[in-house]
Amino acid sequence: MLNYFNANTVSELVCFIVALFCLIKDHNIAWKSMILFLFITCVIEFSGTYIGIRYGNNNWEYNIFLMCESGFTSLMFINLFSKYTDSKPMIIYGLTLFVVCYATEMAYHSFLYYDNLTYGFMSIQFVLYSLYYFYLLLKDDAVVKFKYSPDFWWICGTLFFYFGSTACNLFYHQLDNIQIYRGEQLIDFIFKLLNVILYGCWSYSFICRKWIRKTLKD
Amino acid sequence: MLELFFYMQEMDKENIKGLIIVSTLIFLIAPVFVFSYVFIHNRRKKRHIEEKALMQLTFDAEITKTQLEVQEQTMQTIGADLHDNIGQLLSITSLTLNSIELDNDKKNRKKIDAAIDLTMRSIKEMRLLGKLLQGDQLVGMGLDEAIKYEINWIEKSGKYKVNYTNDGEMPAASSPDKDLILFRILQEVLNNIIKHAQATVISIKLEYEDSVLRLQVNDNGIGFNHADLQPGQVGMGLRNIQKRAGIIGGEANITSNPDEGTTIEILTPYP
Repeated sequence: MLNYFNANTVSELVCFIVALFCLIKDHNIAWKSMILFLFITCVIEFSGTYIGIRYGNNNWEYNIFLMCESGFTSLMFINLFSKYTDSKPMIIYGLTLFVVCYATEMAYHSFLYYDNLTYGFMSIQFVLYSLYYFYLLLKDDAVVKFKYSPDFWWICGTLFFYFGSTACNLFYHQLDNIQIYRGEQLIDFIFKLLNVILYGCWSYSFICRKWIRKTLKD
Repeated sequence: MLELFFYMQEMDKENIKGLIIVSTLIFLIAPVFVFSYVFIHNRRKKRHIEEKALMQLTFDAEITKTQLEVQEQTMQTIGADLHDNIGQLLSITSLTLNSIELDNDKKNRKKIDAAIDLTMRSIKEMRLLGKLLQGDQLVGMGLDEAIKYEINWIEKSGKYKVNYTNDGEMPAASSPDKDLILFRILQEVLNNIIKHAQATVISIKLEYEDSVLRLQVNDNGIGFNHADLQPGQVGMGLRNIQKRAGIIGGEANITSNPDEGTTIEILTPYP
């Protein structure tokens, strides 16, 4: 049972509970969809751990999850960009490229191998989107209270996660069996750290979102 | 990139471990710099907005003060006119009517005509005063009209010859706040001329060119040497003129020499 609870699953589960509590009454579809996305993430993570323990290879499950991750994150970016610009053409173009990349990689190897190149491509996309968001934020005349800005904290988490995983994406195939401490794989350790940062930022952004909704209501 | 890829394959696991840890740390620190820059920029933006709001408050306060001053000046003019002009006319009318003798028709006719004439003049004066009472509306009619009214009062005293020219077509869109400030500056300048300059001729020129409005007033009075003025004497008047011109984004140039009169030029972007 203890195998199911590690930094990844716990941070995802906590983030899902926070999202459920804070976003259930949110009227914005993109924000509300985060509950569903985090639920899927938790299901994938727990079932992935089970399959990993029972059968060894769980890559096919994470390959499916890639589509889900790209879709939901893109939806959030469209929503966040909408304050400043119409980003739909850019995001749809990005999603098309992602699908092409995914299909190409699938055609080259078995479904049991992880689509590392597609994941790397998706990471670059999200890093660029995040930086573009900051550019729009700088260009805009309005002053943002970062402390209470859900958009800002969501982007922060996303940028940390996808930019921080760049080194692992680049040298993915060299990282097999490199251990950092007492049997702990280096790549697992880095992704646990990145997950804690990502879900920490996202959880805080959901709390900010609830605060704002409550303040506006009052 | 490809060379690095092959080089990586040759490297031992320890080196790869070190490289991955260091590069991941760098990739994690890089966004911190982005966030810091965004934070600093946002704080600057906030400060800029606060400064702008403060400037707007100062400007609004100055506009209110100017409006009050224009009204005060109008009341002073009305008071002086009632006392010196209309009051005198009515006193003479009263004296004329009192001197009427009921048994002398021929003489009385002349006196009644004179009283009628005096009454008509009083009514005319009262109408002019009525127009002046609408001080704010006066500026609302446009700077050119307001200046003409002001000149009208000065000329009535008979002590000054005033030349007024308006060159260049004024823009269709006016700026009521700027008009008000400029009109108040003109009033202040004319007050100074009346009080101190001992002038007989006043020239006022309003010019509009390349989005710049130029108001120039000069007199043939005794003038003054700017350097000779005592600190207390630099005058609220002159300082106010410069301060107010600054508030509307313009500048005031004052040139004067003893016995050569004074020229005051206000330049401001307009509208």
